[in-house]
Amino acid sequence: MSHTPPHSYPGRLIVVEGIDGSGKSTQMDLLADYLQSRGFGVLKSAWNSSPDISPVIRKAKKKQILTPYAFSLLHAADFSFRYTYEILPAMEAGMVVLSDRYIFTAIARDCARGIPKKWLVSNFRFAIVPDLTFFFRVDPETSYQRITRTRPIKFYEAGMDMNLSTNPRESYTLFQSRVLSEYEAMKDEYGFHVVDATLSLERTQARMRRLLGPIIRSLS
Amino acid sequence: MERTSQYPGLLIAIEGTDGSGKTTQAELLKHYYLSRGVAVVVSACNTVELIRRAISDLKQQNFLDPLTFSFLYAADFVDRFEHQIIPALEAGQLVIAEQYVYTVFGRAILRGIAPEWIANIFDFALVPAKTFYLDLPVESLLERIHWKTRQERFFDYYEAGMDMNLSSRKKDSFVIYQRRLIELYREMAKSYGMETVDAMAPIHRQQKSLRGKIDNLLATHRKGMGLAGGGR
Repeated sequence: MSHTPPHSYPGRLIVVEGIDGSGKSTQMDLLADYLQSRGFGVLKSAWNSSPDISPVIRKAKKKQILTPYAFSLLHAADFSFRYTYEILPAMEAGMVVLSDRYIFTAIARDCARGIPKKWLVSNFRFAIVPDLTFFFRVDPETSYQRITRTRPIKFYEAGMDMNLSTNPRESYTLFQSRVLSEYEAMKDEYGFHVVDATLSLERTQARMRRLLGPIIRSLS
Repeated sequence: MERTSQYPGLLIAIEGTDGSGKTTQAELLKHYYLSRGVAVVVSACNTVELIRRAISDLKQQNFLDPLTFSFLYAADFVDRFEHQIIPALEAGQLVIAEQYVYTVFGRAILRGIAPEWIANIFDFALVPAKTFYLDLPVESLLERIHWKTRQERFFDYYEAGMDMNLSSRKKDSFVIYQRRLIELYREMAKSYGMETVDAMAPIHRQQKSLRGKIDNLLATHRKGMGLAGGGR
């Protein structure tokens, strides 16, 4: 995908990436309100949300039967479905697409599970390069605390399938550290804008809007 | 894709269109090797229940995007590969895979997917010691599935290639689609070094030739693994 030229769709694609508990979804919601209040058409697309494939993934996760390749391919199917039937039509219609996680999530997570990066990059080479990608950086310990305030850590997000540790918290920290370093390895190649997830909500939102400015102006 | 030689078992694949006799030949091979005391397993393409439901739901709503289908078929294959084929090969069994990755390649390529892209997705799989392609001319395929008398509604929308706008009639679309599929199989048979079997020949002749070839492959494989030749 790094070799793919910029897209020529009338719409714009904005992506937030990072591990859970980094506050990226909250920022995306604020950005959506902001854009809509200014009259822009907005489409939000979230990771693992396609109507027919995501339930399959959820069920398979519950049974804890997914191998790294099966995990990767099912998420790729979910993504390509949303890409074909949600993201591209909105891009063609000149909307601003806000994608909560994009192919970088798949690459970072699946690499952390030991899958060759070359394989993943080739699988996702059909996907256009975003106009703007924000990478929310948070350390796994902080993210663990933020997540567990509202819900328990899940089996796969803790990387429990990797047998790193029998202790979920320890496994989560070890696994998400790997995911994090995969993100770090991609940040220059794909031009991520790093967001310090410990900064205040307002400051982060202000910075995102500032960076969004030129991209939105080129729309009108 | 890697070669299979690292495993004590041997992997053989059988490919071909509908009606080419894959199942019949695979089952006869199983009987033969069982009777000779060779541990053998036939791995057929029994789609995982969860994925099958998703595929049929998508088909029903005409969401037939070839990228998504390629990933779903690959997810289905990886399950069969990791849970059935690999364990059998590790246990030293002869694995007869009825339909392997090339069926998925065919469906995708006919729908405009780049051959290298789909081949890369299946890079985790193993190259069979030999893939037999049961070649059936389209006219005979049509006869075998009773094309003339079969009602329009008994043709699957996707398997008839209706998503490709070949013809507005399912039956006609089916014929065009299968003709193209056979052409593609023949090309793949060449480029992937498959052994073509004339599926028009009498069943027992095809079987005899398959047995002879697989016997040889088994003997060579066992020599390579440092095992004794012949049955167990």
